[in-house]
Amino acid sequence: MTTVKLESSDEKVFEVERDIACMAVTIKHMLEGICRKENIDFGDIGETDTAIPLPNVTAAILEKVLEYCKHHHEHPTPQQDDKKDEKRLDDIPPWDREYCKVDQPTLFELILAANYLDIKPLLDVTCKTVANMIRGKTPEEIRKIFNIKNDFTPEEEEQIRKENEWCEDKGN
Amino acid sequence: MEDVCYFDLIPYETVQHILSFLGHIELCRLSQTSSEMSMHTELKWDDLLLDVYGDSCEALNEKYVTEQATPLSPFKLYAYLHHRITRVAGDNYLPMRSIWSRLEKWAIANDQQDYLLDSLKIPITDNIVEFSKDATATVHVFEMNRERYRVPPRFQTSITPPPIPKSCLFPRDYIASLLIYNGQNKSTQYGLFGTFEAYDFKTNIILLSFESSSDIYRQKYSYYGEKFGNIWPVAFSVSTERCYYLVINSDTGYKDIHPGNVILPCGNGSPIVVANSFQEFLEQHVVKLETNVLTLRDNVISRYPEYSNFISQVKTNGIWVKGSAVYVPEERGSGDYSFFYRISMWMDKDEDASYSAQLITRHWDISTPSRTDTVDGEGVIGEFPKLTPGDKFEYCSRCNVDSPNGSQMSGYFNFIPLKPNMDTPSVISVIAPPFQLDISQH
Repeated sequence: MTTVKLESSDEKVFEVERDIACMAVTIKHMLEGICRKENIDFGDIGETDTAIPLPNVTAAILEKVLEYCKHHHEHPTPQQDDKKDEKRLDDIPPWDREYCKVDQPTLFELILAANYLDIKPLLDVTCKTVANMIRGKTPEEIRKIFNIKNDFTPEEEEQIRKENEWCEDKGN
Repeated sequence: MEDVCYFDLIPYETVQHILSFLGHIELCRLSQTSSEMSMHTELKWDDLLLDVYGDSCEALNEKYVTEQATPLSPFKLYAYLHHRITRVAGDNYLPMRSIWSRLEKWAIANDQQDYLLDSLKIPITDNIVEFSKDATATVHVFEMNRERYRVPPRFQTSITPPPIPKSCLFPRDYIASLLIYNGQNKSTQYGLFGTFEAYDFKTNIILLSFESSSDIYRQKYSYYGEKFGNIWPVAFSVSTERCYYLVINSDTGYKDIHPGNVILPCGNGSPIVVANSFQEFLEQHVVKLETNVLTLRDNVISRYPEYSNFISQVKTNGIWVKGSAVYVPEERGSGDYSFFYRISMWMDKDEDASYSAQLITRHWDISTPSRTDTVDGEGVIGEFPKLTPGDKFEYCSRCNVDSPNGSQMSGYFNFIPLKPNMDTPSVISVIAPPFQLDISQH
């Protein structure tokens, strides 16, 4: 088993199975870069001692991200076609749903990390979780949940409410 | 930390990614929270149009917003289409759209732009009929006034009974289809459901527009009353009165026939259920076109299947023969089942030219479960076709039998060689392989 070392922003080093680390496309590209530079085979990457610095991810978040990668490495989900009509369904598998039960700061940090590390499934599942927090809520409830500051004047607010009231039509 | 808005801390593209998992209700509500969110949502409507209505904003504007000089913005267009399409067609629009796209694709691949495609009418509008949210629409019908038919016209009073508003509940897939194409022009020769013919006449089955359907519905209703209250004509041939009906409302009046089914009434007994739904009805037909089960003759779709379990083709002395039959229900049954059939005979291009021959006589064995009739005669439909390599000759005729299934026709055609020589017989019997007369082919 080939392992690689990852270093979080707060200088904690994680030793991770190479294939798990490579689920993050950003890390994969970094490793490939190292291989080119040091002129070694990708298969022999374990030979190198260099820890890959990840200055945008804290140890706590990196640990959580690696938990996701590890689980999905061990339980690969069958490749699904990108069916357009299913795109908007909030179909989150049970393990992922449990995984995303974290406080809002952590959830958004996971989103940032998934975005930076380029782990598409993790980005999708965390973004879907946020989308689900929006679903079924009134504008006022959404503001409260996410601390969104209402910067409309009462007139503007009334106008935008009017423009959007068709969506409340129960005929759909 | 308490009043941090995390949306402000993540990249713009990531906010957009979150929003791509939302539907129109959530986008509308989110846009009301702040000017920043309003701007974020503004950019999602193009994608949502593509997801829900299957086309770009530009294409949808062109198809649905014809009466306005300036195209609608993606948001306004979505709101408009939501009212016009989704409110009445539910989730049926996109599946129906994809079937219609397949048909368009087939038509273009077969150069039917000026024929079939040209005959299709633009999407139905509220000026023609207004469907309500629960998919009902009101059609005005007349009760037949039997008195009027007893009294000679010149003694009739000029008072006609007032029309009765009848509320019809339509399947949503049918409404979705009308919102893509409102059927075909009444006078087109290029019926979507094709033609079949015999020596004495030719049918042309068109997909009806809502207006034409209403006319036929009103007519039938005034003659037959409630018996025709729950079946709605969707495809029709003027020459045979052959009509496919969609079962509407909740009570069908027939056993084992359900609202939404497409049926073909026949003179003898209960109607044939052609498809479980209008969508299935249309899709079945499109599949037959895509797979060349039905093919074109002079830009018209021929309803005789090229392939089926009921037909086969056989080559004798370089000449292929194949027959294909279609059941033609008649409105008033005589106890007979009427079938139209097409016989094709041809020689392959690379066939030995010495097999070239001319048809002189025909022989048919028409067997039904109870008996076998034979027919012998000169030529076919008065003709004596000559076949040389690459030639094809087809003719259509009809045949009545006394059973809905289990009957077949088979026989042979006698040909004489065009260039007789010592080695070939003077008359060649070319086999016409059996083809079934079965009402499931209709």
